[in-house]
Amino acid sequence: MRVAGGPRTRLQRVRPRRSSVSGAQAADAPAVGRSVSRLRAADYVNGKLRYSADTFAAGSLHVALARSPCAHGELRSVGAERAREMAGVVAVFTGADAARLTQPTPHFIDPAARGGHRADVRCLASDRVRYVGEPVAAVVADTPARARAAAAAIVVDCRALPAALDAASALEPGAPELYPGWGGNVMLEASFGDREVERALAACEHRLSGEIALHRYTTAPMEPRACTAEWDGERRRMAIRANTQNPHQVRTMVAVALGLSEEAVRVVAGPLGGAFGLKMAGHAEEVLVPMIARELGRPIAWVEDRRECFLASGREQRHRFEVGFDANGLLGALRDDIVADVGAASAQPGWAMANLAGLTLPTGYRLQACSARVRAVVTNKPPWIASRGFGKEAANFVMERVLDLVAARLELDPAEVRRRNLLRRRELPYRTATGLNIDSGDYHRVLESLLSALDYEGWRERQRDARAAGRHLGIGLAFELTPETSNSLGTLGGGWDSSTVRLDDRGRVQVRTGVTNPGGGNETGIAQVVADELGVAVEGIDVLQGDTDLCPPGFGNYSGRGTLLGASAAALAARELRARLLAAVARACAVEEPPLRLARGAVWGPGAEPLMTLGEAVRTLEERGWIEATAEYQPANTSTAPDERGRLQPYPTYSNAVMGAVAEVDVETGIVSVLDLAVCHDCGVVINPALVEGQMRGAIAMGLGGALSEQLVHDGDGALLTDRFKTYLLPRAGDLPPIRIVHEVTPSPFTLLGTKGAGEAGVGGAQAALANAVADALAPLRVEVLSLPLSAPRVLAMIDAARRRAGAR
Amino acid sequence: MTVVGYLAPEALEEAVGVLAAHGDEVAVLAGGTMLLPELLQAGTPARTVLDLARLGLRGVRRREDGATAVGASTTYADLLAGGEHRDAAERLPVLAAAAGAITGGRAIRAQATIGGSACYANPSSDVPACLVAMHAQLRLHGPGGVREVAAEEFFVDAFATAREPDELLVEIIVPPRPPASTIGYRKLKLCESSWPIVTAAATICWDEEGECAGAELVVGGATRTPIAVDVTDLLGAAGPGDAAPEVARRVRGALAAPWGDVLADAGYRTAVAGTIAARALLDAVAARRSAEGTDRDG
Repeated sequence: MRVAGGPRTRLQRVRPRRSSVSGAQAADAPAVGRSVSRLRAADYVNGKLRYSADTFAAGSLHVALARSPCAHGELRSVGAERAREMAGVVAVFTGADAARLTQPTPHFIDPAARGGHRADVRCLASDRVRYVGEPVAAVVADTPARARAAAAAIVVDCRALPAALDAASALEPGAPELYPGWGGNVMLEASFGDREVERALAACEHRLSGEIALHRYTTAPMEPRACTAEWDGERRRMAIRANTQNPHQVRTMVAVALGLSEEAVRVVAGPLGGAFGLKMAGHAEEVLVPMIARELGRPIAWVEDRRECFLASGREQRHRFEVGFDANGLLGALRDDIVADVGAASAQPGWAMANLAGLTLPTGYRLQACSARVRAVVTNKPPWIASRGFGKEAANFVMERVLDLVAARLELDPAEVRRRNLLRRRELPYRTATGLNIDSGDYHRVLESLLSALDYEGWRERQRDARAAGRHLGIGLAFELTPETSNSLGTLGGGWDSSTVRLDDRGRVQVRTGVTNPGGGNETGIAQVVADELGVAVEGIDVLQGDTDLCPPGFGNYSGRGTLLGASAAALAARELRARLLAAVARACAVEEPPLRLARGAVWGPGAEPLMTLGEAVRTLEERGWIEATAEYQPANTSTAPDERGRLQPYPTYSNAVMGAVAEVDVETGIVSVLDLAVCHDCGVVINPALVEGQMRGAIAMGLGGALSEQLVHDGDGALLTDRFKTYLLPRAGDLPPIRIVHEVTPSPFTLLGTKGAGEAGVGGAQAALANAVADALAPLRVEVLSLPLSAPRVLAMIDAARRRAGAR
Repeated sequence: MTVVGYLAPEALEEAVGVLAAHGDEVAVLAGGTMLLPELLQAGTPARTVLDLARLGLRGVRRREDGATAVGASTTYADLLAGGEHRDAAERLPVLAAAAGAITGGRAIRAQATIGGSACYANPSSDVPACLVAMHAQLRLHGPGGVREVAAEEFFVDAFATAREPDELLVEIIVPPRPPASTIGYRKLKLCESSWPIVTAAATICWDEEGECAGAELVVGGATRTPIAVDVTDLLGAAGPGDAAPEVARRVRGALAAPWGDVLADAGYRTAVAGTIAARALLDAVAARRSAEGTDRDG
């Protein structure tokens, strides 16, 4: 059964609140809308959860990787003689073995399906290496230490080729070609939006142009990646355990790469200690470890170390924009030329973030004359990994910086410029120039609510006082639109997912679902929805995720899809069970069905006592002692068929937010202090406010970290210099202000429960609000803030540049 | 882990003997906050670990001559703790100020040692410049006996000290504070998890009239080894606030052999060193004023 669309009126009225109800009242109060404590929360905080690296099979052999020392080169030989003779070493595999033992790994998002180039991706490089750190050999030994020691003894002989270490040099005529036959280094070029934008720009009263540069950083999960595999030669079955976001996609990739049927591969995704896109399927080791397991017939284990984890990178891109507007600050036209440095090719979906940086423009503003050209350019750096925000954060950053530049040019209040350009509630659903169909929202209400939560006027007064005292304090606003729950062709993902709900004759409920949990707690949100449908307590519900043998088909977590799809599918399955139960009880008790209801683990009629318990009701239906139903769910409001202008509509829901940040800059050192941060967020119906707010806080911390201190830096030979937490600087609690969150609720008209994706929102908004605050703080010095990160050395350099410009005038 | 042996002798002579016999193949372990992550990396040469834990080098004591002796294995937490060290903060205010702001929270402060940081000689670490500011002597034990090296001579380059491979740092001797002196300590970090980028320790000695009798700044992080700058003449009648730009200029002028790394290049460190030093100096002046205030109130 697949059901599309449709809001549900009962849930629409639910407002997020932090109430605690007790006793009999609690049993009947809906679980949805309450900050129910996470299922298994105690296991998380007591260290009782078993992560992938805690679950090696007895007798496992361990893999360590030898990696390319060279940014770009012909791989002449991989010298493994010494390594093979070292203590404990069982085998060494090289690119030649991978070429012999595997087929190309299917891409999570296929660039060729979008008119671009698809590289032949294998788990070990042969013939050519394309970045420092690319896996070239795998050593298998009896202990991790011995495997690592032997991997360090592998001699990699490269004939160095000229390297293209950034997108600009990769685009130059005569640049070294990374993938012969592509005719250049552009993996994919795409155009979005209005082709008549030049005419519209020319007609504008005012124009402004510039270039915004966003830097390379990563998602730095606390737990690095891990993968184990066991091959059952007798039954010809592969069992994989990996801390992946997408067990079903790993299954597909391994099956294709190793020439197995999908049914012969079982993938179990362990709990995740952070992922944020980095653990989406498509990493080399996901194929490599099973390949070795099959060759050696022994259980194989691999755990990434921190330095390897820092090879995962994303987001580096440049936007050359021109915006046209009138004297009132009304936007008239926007052109953005986007060049993304996606690193080397990979089967992981990260590269596609470049598309979203264009597609998401011009976010929630009324602007049809908008066009974006996107070029995803391969370079001799590690491949992009999917990173929370998935390119949407970049579009939001650019849009919000542009809005503030317009406001500054016209000497208008940034809040007022947003008021004049943000779409109004009645204009939604709204088809953007790039093809998105924005579902619903009340951006003006969200903006006003944020201004009040931030005490915007109060901060403006304090800013006047601070400036008079010679301090540099600034206030930044940012609207953020987050398209979520993607549905597009040419990918290993899907716009739907499925859940199975089982109820047994002791009244116990189990949910098995195709969505997985990145660690944010969607299992609890799913349980809350099922609890309300079946009239049971949330705490007793068992939610099983991440096992391709036990769970119904699905696509894991990404794109804010986990709760939206998993809980909706589970609600449908639970409703089917409820209908069967009520009909059975009506039959058994010879009563009319309509007044019957499920509550407190029982079936109730009009009387003061229940007719029977849920378990008894199950037994009237099934001798075997349990009933179950499986449902698939896909929201309405997407389209995989191009419209008359060639536009696609891959996103059903659009959560939105307005952020406000206050920052002070020490102009003698460049240090930025974040004094205040508030957000008003609308992700439709909120199932669990605490979980949504937890996601939002984490996203804001990730955004501010990226905006202030997190940066991947490579040396002139392409080697990573920032490969530990003393050189790659994550924010700590003391770097962040208390974050204040308020909600508005505009239910989606296109989803079953009125919910919208939540989980990615916050990264781009926080960055943009902070950059706008820093620009505002430094406005008296006429400092240009057009790049990230706003680390102290870079901010001081921006201030110096402004002083030099002033001196030159 | 590329460790081939582990030794934890109880006698100093035995420890020195191990160093003399094996030299560079021995890794000296104090708190281990730098050494252990390094040893965990593949490809590092195999080494024997010489653990100082049982040598009794931990603790702060007052010597008969009024100086303070800081055992090499004393941790930052020890300096900040009560108990037998309770007046350590008073006698070693510069080091205590640095210890209180060490990155990494309690886990690092309770593990990392003053002596370990001195021997590691990271230009970005607090300790080297603090020891220079306190005019400390570093007491080294070698096969030929004991010698003392002044802090400004101990730090010979980035990550290089005057300690010979067969010597152990056992104690840091800090002379008594001049009477009526105040200090200021400033540290610039990019964020909480950052190494210090520039540190500045200011010490001002006041005469009986309340006039500045001597003012010294020691700046760390901006150069390969700490630098000391005498600014006594700048704290004259003009008032300390007006002196700040000149103090900053003098400090910048003194920055030979600038230091930079991936967190901040030499240009940035040079640009901010003077500012941070001037702020430390103003803190030391303000500390005198607040002490005067307390006296009056008292």
